[in-house]
Amino acid sequence: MATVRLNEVIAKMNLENLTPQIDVTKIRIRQPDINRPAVQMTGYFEHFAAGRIQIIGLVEYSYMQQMSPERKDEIYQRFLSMDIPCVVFCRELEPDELFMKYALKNGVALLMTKDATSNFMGEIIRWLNARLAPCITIHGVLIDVYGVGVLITGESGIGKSEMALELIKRGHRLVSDDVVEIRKVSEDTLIGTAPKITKHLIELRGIGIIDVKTLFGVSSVRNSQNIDLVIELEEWSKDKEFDRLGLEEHHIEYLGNRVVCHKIPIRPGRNLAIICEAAAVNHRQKLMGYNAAQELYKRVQANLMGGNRDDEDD
Amino acid sequence: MMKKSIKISCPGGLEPRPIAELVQVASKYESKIYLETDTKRVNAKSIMGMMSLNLANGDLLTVSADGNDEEGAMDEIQSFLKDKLNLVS
Repeated sequence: MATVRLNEVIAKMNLENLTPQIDVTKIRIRQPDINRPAVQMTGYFEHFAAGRIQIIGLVEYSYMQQMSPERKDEIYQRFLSMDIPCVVFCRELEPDELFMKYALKNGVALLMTKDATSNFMGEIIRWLNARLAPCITIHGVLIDVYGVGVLITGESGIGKSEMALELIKRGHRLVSDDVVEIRKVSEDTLIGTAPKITKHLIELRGIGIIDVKTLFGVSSVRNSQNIDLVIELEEWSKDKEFDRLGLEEHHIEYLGNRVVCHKIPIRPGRNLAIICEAAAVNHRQKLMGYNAAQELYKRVQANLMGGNRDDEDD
Repeated sequence: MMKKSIKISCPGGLEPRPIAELVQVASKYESKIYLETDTKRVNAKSIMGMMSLNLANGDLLTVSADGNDEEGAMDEIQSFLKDKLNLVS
């Protein structure tokens, strides 16, 4: 399960820490959702999602201000002892002393932002969703070819890295070699990145590690890319069937999302980089509504209907 | 398909050179060999994968091997982790 440290949230969202005494590197956020504790301030704690980031806006704040001191004492104590990760005050609102006291006592970090409440909520949910998305690491190469994120997979030593190098030399951009971290950010989007340690590096057998960014420049790499297309390299064999028309699309599943997958047979003398480029452009063309295999199918059908005669030669 | 879990003890972390040696050991075998921690699963024959595994002290490492020579692979990797790298307490 992915988690985010609170100090990362503070740095990313540009928050002010009102409780510097608390070690924010030890607090971890596990849920991408947030909660506005308006109902909790009235004393209703059923179904309270304590694990979420708690956000206090103008409504909660003005309600809290008109509570009697005894009521404040009771509610604050109950609210802040419920194992919540942090409370964010929006619009530069500041917590009262009592709130601060119970927060420090329970180790709940208090943070403050200048942003308006709904803007802040939108931003933090979007960011947390991307950061806490389900993640797997797979063995493969991710490269941006004409803007299409192509994931190249296949056995060790089949030539994925060499293919990537050739594509880079042709002006395409590397995301990650050998290890790709895939995050599911939505039901139809997978995003691939490189692990920090191996970012922008390629391993070539016989040469070792090369740094693509310093060798070929910033324009030859990118940090992340959607996974639009998978190319699976396979040792060519007579018994295996490979797609000849491309009428049907084959898919592969990662984290429950389906991605179009082409199996490409490897044989000496095949120019893999150019095949990969063609696959990427063809994928774009399909998305734009044109399918060459269907066009061929249509032409053959029309020819049959027209009585098998080829009139074009007349 | 064979699977074995090993508890890692390496207070100082694992350096690149022994990782590369471990990849060499794995690459000798035909079988598909994977190393798994609770967050990552990497191909043991891939240098970059193994470097990004980032083993920490106390991690539970699961080695899996699948193929004709899986037994030999499993034995050699286990003894490599134990005797050469002193990762097993």
